[in-house]
Amino acid sequence: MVADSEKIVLSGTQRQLTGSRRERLRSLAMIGLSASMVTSIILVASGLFLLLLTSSLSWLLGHVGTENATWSEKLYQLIFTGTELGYGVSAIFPAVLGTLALVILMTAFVAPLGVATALYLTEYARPTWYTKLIRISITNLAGVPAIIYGVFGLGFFVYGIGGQVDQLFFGDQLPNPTFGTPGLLWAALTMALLNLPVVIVAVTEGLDALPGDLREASVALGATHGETVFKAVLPAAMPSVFTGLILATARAAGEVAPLLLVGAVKFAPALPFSDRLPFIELEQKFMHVGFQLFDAVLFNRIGPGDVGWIASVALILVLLISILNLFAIAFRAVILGRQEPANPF
Amino acid sequence: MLAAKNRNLRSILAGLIVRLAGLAVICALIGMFVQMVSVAYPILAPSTLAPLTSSLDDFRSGQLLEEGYALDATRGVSFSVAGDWSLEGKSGEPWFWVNSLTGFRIENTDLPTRWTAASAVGINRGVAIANADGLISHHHFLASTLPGDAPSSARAEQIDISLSVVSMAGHPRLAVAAVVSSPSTLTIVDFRNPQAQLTYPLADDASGLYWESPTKLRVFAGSIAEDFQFTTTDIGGAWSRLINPVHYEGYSAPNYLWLPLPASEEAEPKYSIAPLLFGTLKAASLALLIGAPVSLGAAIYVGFFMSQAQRGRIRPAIDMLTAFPTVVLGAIGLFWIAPVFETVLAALLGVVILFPVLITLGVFAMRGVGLRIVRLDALDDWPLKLIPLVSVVLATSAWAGMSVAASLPGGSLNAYLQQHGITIAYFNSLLVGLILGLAITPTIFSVAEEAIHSVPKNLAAGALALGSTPWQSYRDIVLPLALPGMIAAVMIGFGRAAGETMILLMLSGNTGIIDMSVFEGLRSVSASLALELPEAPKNSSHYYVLFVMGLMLFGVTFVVNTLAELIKDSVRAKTRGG
Amino acid sequence: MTEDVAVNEGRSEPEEGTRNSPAIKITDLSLGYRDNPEALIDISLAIPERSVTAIIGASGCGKSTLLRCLNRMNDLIDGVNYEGQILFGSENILSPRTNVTALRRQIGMVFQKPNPFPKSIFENVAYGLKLSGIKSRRIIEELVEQALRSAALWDEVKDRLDDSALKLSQGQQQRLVIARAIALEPKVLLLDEPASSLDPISTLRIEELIYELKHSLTIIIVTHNMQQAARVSDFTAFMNGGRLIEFGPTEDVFTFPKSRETEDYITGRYG
Repeated sequence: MVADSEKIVLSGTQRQLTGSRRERLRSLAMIGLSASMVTSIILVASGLFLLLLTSSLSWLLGHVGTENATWSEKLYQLIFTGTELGYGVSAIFPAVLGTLALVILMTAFVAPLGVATALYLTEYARPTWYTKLIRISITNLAGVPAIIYGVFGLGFFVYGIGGQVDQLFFGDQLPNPTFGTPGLLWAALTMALLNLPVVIVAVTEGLDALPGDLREASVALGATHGETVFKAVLPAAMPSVFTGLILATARAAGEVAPLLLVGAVKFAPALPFSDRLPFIELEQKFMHVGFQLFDAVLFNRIGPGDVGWIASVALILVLLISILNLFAIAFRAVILGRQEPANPF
Repeated sequence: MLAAKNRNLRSILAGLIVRLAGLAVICALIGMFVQMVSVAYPILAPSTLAPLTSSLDDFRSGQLLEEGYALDATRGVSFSVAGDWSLEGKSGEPWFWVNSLTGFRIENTDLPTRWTAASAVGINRGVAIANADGLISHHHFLASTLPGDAPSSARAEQIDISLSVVSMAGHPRLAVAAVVSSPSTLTIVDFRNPQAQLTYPLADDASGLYWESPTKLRVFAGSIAEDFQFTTTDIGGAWSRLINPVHYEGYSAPNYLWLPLPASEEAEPKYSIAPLLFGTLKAASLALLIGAPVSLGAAIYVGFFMSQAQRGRIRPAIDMLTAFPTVVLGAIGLFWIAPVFETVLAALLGVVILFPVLITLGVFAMRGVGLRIVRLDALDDWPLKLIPLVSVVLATSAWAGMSVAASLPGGSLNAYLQQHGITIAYFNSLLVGLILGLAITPTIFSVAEEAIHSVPKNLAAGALALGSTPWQSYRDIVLPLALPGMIAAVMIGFGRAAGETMILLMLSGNTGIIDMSVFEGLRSVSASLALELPEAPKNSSHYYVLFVMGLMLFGVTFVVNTLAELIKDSVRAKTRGG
Repeated sequence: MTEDVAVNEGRSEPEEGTRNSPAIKITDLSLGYRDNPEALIDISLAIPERSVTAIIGASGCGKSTLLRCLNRMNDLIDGVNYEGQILFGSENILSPRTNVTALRRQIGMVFQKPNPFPKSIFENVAYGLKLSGIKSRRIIEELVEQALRSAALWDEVKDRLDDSALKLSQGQQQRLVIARAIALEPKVLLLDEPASSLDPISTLRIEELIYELKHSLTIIIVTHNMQQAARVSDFTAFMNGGRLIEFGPTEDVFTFPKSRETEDYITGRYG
């Protein structure tokens, strides 16, 4: 201890905590402001949602647009017939089917490749500077704009591979391209590439979150490395695989930019399904909900009733993606919930 | 034993397949970049000149002279320029504009009078004139502003080849001229890229030359003709033409123009990507200006002041915004905001100015009158408890903004701005920035919030235990550690805004101009790619230039994201130490 | 350390009492969280001034929660509810009117895991002083030295005050954190298992420090280490299941526990 004589004696006024009141008020103001930002974001998001909802409902229930149609008739037209609305816009149903075909095909590509890459990076490759580099790069590729994937898809898949396929197998139909033109297959491949980083990041995150002793326990029981990976690690990480695929699906449903380049059209001549194998018409152009919205908004003359129609399509899209996101959040919670939350102190 | 062997084999096989698939994906992702470079490269390649082996003997100088390519400086030359006007000249005498209908002659003093060779260059839009010293100048013809007036000319470029020019032939499509000079040299001068001259030594002194096609040049030397293959691109290997202002044919001064599909076939396509880069930057900056403060503020609250349990609940609520695909946000902007943009702008200005003040006062007031919005300093429920206050403040400040706008001289914001010479375009940059800011808010929020939240809680607790206010413990202890992560968040937000396509396509007006005004429209790289790439013929200059822009966008977003990731990594390492 | 330390804005100083007069008086304190509505039940306890009081008990018995009530650090936890009162001088700590920031300068706290700020050693100690509105560089420097000397750290760090505090060893970091707390000259120092993450030698140094410091301030220490409680404390409170089971001079509690539960715990039958 220091001898008393050496000490500075603090006077009462010095310990009055000068500025304390001002600091407390400032703290209050800053907390209030930052909290109000959270409130504002939530209010704006809810506001946008309510805007679409009221606009859609007032069109369905009100008497703007198609006269004398009941809400159920309007809904039927909106979903199935479309053209009877008379606004030069098409029905949602074929677009939903087109989106579905795109998602199914994309998942078929992205699921095995994404999972395999994630497994390779976490379970097979030894952690070195270049695997770290690859992981960072893949994270970053998830942030590369979607339109870039569209540009690549057009240059590589459509003109590159598609052109080759045409020359080899469809030479008799040239110069009319069969595969060398935007179509479902190329759109699905482009979307798969776009979503690969998303899936890889999600699955890698899930694999990293697994307790390390899971692998040791499996190996200790005499399992081979392959059995450990496929029978112990992968099943435990399944929720993260679902998270990744759901996020990919949500993105495929909402991301329109690449489709402008590699495949979607306003009116597809037929649904992209057929009764012969493989049941999906790979080279066909197809319809997509997001693209349909874009097309209707930008290239059609819009009457008063169309706003309600647009709002309805937008609402369906938003609800679809919300539901997918909720599933993704739920699956993610399953993985992260395994880690105990730490004491804040 | 056998079973074990099988199992091992299966394990090895599975490993092999996984490794192969993983490496294939990684290669594909890297290959993506390489492929785009290889597609875009042709436009960046330099021009080349090579002799063709087939030598010709059917010398038809008569036809050559008929076509008017081999010129005699003493006899004079004549070029048809625009409409009824042609340009006539004779070495040593002034040039004249001649109206073929009326016979009207006007002297043109802009062009050099002493010359040895002259040739039309490009598609009726210019002339190249060479003097005896080997100085070759390129002049544009500028259409007259009044019908009936003579065109004028402007010098675009001057190139010194320091050889005595014998004969010259202008390229039929591009601002390029082929020159034969003594002693026996063939030179291609490119007015688009003055530094890049292609020369080729000839065996014999040449007497004349002409372009058989845009890629094939025929040179006469004595009694033989020699053919040359000339390959070039629309930018002639001059990358700077994409970025710098360019003196295009028919324009009086260098300019930034993005007109890849010119209205008339006679005009040259114009590939200045500067206006598009500018548009992208402008949109992204405005989006950050609007999105960053809100999302960073929210991130501070959720990441620092909020408890773990509440945080888990509030994050999905903010992620609600991600459920709006950008095409929907674009539609909302187009249908519900653009038509009332003037009002929205007034309201927005009111909110920006009044919101912080009113919220602060509101919080103080609620505290002051004993309405304890928080019981102690548990801060969890503020966003919910503040809903009435924030709603009232938003409404009040928006109303204030609108009423101030209505009371401006002129009666409305639009009229007031017009009095000061500012017009609000229907599709303007501010509208884009507003919607784009909304789109990038969840991204910035999410990354910044992670950064703030990852600072160990016990540091803040240490500061609180010393008697700091919650804000002081954030500002003094947490912020220095979280700041790099927050900067990274803003960078990632910027990258997203720069690459966003649908909102720009729908709301920006797609006007490729460089204008600092936020009330003017813009055209972004992404929107150009989406609009033009499906229409651009494969392997055309337009197609290549679009790929170059795609690469730039790719490169910029990738680099920005990588930097952000590295910043986050270094912070992670630092906070772990604490 | 007897100089005047103003309790919140002009409140009168409690009379300087005899050695064992209460520094803090807890009356009927109950506390509940959203997840655990009965974290503390009806606790009444008078903590004697200028002495070391140890709170012992099994994990989850509420001893840390009780400690954090004393400077209201529990406020940071989601949905906490208090009942009863805690008197510090004449002031009820739990009153909503309490100036919490001023209170925390009076009642310092040291946490389980050393948490030096990622700043220099000097800045760590100076931070609290600066918060108190002391601007003079000279005074701050002297007070920092004083605090570091009091925490028996001065000789180890005097030549590298500008080094990052993160470069210190765990034991040094913990003493730095104690220095940071006592620089403000608090009346009470709360120690939440201060040695649980340290090696035996560092632990010993902390214990010596506690012994030195108790001459000038009241120390309340939460520990799960029975020997430590016996070594450093003058009084011991034993808690179980959110209740205070026994409180008394340490010797009495350890040698003649009144309650069966206390005896079981001390003799190691559970916990």
